[in-house]
Amino acid sequence: MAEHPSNVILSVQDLDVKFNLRGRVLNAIRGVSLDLYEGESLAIVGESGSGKSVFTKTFMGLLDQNGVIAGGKILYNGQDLAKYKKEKDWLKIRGREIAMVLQDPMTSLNPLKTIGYQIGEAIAIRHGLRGKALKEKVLECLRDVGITEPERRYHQYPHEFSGGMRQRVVIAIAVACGPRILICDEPTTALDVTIQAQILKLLKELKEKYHLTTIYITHDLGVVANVADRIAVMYAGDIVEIGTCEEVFYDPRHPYTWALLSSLPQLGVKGQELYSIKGTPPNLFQEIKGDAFAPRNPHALKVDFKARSPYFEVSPTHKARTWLLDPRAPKVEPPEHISQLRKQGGGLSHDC
Amino acid sequence: MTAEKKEVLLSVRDLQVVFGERKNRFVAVDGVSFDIYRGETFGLVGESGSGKTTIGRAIIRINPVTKGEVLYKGERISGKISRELDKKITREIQMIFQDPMASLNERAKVDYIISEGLYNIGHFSPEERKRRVEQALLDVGLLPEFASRFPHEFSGGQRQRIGIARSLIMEPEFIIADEPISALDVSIRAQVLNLLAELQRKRGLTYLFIAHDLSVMRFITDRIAVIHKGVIVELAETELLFRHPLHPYTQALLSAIPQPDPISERKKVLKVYDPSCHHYEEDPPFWEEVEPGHFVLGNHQEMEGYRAAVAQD
Repeated sequence: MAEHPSNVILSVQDLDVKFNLRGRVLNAIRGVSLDLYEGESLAIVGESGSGKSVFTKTFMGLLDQNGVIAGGKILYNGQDLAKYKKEKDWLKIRGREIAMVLQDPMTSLNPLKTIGYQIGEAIAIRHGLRGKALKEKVLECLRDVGITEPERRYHQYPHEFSGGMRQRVVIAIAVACGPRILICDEPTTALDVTIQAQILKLLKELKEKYHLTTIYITHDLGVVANVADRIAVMYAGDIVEIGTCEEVFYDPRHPYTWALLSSLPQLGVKGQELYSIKGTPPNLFQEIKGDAFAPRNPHALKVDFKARSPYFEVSPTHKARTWLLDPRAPKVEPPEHISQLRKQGGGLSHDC
Repeated sequence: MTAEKKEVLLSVRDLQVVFGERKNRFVAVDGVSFDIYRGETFGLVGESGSGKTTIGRAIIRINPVTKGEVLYKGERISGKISRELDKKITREIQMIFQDPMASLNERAKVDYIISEGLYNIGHFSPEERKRRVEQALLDVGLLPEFASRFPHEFSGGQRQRIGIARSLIMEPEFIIADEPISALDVSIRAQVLNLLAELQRKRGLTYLFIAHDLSVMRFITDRIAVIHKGVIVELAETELLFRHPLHPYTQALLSAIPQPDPISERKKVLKVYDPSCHHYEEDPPFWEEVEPGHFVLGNHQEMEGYRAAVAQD
């Protein structure tokens, strides 16, 4: 957790990712640095197109063909993953060290193979088990993720499972190889609210049981309040604010975080217009000058259009990339919803 | 809205929808009744497989009704109806679909997608048709130039707006919105919800809003019906439902809403609904109004508890 900054399990330094699209270059990730601490659960939040999925895909070498890591380092176990080129190298990392749960359980399972086979496949490669021992291990995995009657379920196909159950199977496959880091890419977006709550609970339990370090990727800030220790807010390929869960919810500093929180329907008042972010995310084909969020930001200062803000530290665990935190900046009151959240947090705010 | 002024626009009476036959017979919706008043937003919540979409589709005559009836402005629109009535309700009742990625024809231009319905209801000159398409695009906050583009050139939020424009061009009175925002990003959700609310204010539309997420419902609906396994278990005005959720299933749904508040989230106890908590063998459940505007399904013993819970406050 954040209190033990010594145990950095994965360290990303100044990462740049570019995509070549029909002769044009898209800057998907623009100089992101992030330390992931052992045993913590980090949530990466942002709109679609903010680069949150691309960012985590680089940890597993899953970038599309036209994507390249143009600069920076990804340090894991003393090695720089950004330098990995061959599939052979990646196979040592993928699944064994870092595993992933994808968004849509309808498409991430093979419809032609039984559930037992699909889980067993991963275990056979990782542990070299066969026959009875393999089946035993698969059944154990199924029990682990809360699937009842594993004996019967073992021989069934994905179409015989409901969405929530299917997502449990995907999680079982990811955890089966004993990874140290589990990346959950929108694990509950395709699911109902009731099922969503159950899946999040399951992920939390598994994290404790296997001492996993988890990364959640989501566009919905509401979902992560329960599961995240730290939250990183991404916008246009950059982390604009990062802090502990309490800090980001009760004392957000970046205008984009304000906007994301305000647009949650949970905070809406009936009869009033719900807050929505005006405009569209910036075009990443062009070089971005200054703060990427400035054109959509009602609180934007002049300097926001000219120069990119450095990180300003709010507390040792909390920093944000906005000029508003500069001592010279005028005092800007956050929107009403944010003050309301701050009150709920009760005295957590530091100096405003 | 006062009680006297309420005019019933759509009325569903004892609706039953059955899929399959004999061995594969499956009762998706059983004995569902409710009224929707003109100008209100009526919410239908339930998990996947509860039959909420089936009800919407039965109203718009996609799924055949096996028992019961649907009345629109007092006229029966389920089962066999005359051609004229069919034409009339096709125009007046429209639907907005869940996934904007799947519900637009990829090979047609926006112009055609939006105006397809117009071809069926009468003879419009090309100029008139074009004018209407432009107006519909403006109404949903898009530019008239977009008419000559293809769906793949738009983002999810814009596509959903095209879907809304397609239903608006028919000048409907009643719109069935089937999870219109589930497939969208949080920031886009707010935009689409605001658009729907604004259109309702301007045109006096009536909505049937289908969703699985109660947090969205609180913001947009006037009344909510909670449906579980094809049966409505609770129906109330939105605020009453949030103040006194009575049925255990409603409580489970409410407890599952993620709150943007880490402290209360960590303390939260997740309620899981287990249908075996009811003892309906000897004492079958009935439908009763426990406080004005708040109906719930339960047997005598449960009803006592529900009344006590309401009286307590």
